[in-house]
Amino acid sequence: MARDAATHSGAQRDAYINHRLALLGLAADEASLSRIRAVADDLEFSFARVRRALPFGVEPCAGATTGLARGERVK
Amino acid sequence: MSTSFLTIAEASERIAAGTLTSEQLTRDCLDRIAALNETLHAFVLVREDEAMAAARAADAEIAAGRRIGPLHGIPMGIKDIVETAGVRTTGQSALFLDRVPERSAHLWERLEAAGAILIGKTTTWEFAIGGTAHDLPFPPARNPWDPSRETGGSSSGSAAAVAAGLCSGAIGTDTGGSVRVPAAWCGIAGLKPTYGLVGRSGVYPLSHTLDHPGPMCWSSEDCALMMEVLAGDDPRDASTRAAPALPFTRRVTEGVAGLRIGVWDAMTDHIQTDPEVADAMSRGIDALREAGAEVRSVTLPPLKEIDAVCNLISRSESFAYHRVNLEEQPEKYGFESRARLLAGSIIGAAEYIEAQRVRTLIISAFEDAFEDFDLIVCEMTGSVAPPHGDATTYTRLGSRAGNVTGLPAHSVCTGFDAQGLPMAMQIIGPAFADAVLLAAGHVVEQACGARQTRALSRPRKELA
Repeated sequence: MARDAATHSGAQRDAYINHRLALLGLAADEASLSRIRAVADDLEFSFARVRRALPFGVEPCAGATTGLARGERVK
Repeated sequence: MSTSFLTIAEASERIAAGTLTSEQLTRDCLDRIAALNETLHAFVLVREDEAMAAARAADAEIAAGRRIGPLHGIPMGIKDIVETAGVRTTGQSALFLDRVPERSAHLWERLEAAGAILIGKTTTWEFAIGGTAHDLPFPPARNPWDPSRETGGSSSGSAAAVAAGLCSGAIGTDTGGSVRVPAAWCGIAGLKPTYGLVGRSGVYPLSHTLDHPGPMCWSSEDCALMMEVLAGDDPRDASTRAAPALPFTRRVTEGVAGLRIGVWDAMTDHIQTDPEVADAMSRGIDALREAGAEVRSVTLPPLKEIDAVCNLISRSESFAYHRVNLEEQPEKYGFESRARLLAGSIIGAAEYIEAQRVRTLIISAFEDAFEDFDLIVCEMTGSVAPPHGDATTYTRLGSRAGNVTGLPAHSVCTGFDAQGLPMAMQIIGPAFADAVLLAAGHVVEQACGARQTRALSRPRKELA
């Protein structure tokens, strides 16, 4: 569903944000919503960029939640 | 010149030799805080009486032959998202305005056990996310090289305090560049250690898999002195279980001869670097080459891809942490941090997982590169510090690869531009090569870091 938000612009995306915040019981005034939409524009770019970077069928998942690169090499 | 401009290494040596007392050093720092904090807003809390009492106690211990080590009697500033027992820790937020923790963060327990003195809590962005904002309980920090400029953030006060000689060293935290960017723009050294090398228990989380606490000092050598104490197992932080003992203070002065260094033209596909900043980085690379390193170019994943992954993960994880308080007390957050945090609510689980999968590809690419290289150097920021309140320039950062991969990354000063503003370059290494990064930083500083030039070295009345 969030990807729908990422691939639709304007009113649909704003409606999704309103819906999502309401679903979570989160309050936001109009000024905040405006700023959230601006941040969401940035996230939309990130969604698209990540989708392009991920080759279908590859399963790079081990260790993905730690951020810790393996290895120990000290000179 | 005030003793507060001594590096930790210099002050420590004098204290050990009996030619300087911790009381004098701490007094000088407090005097500078009294003169400059009104302008710089580097501290949200100053512990004058407690710090002086701790300094006198340190002097008594040292005089009695019980010197603990190089940090004994050294005054430090701690970012105000790091819990300190009995000392208010606000996160720069109205939400925690009266919060006084019962227990200190593990990293402060380590520093305190090594004899360091808590001189005060330093200014931060609200919960390390909100940007430069004026609707918080405390004003934002100002850049000591030019108070009309940004400090960078979120460890803004720590960078300003060290640069201005308000304390000898400081602690920052780094989720997307929050140690290194303010270090760069304030002309100091800042290390984001390898993920899992410095414990995070007692540090308010922003993004659990991207957060890294680290030292912020005038020199790479001082960062090594702090890391000698900071690095190691934290029983309350599982990420630190594999932390090895590293030879920080021995390695930092041993140079870079024979090392293979890759130059990553990180910003080519992203946004251009200002010519003066690029030239300064070239001089830093020349210094490494002249010190015996072999320098070649290296190709790595596009910065835009790394930034996108960092963006999705950090927004998701920070929303998860703050969700309950956003529901129950949204008015306690500043406008900008509330908006940034709420935006995280639109990211679905699938997008978060996809970002983590791409993250693994990025980590693999860096690991492959470190089969052929010992270090990688690249731009830290595309510019010098922008005017205060100009957040747009914050897009010109090369910092997020270190957070996404967990690899150590170091910001080191490469000199000053025509306006007298500091410039920097970044050094990245394989996991747990933190000491090697600091050694490379030391080489660059010695060659072009202008470590004899200090911000606001004149008395304040002369500044106008």
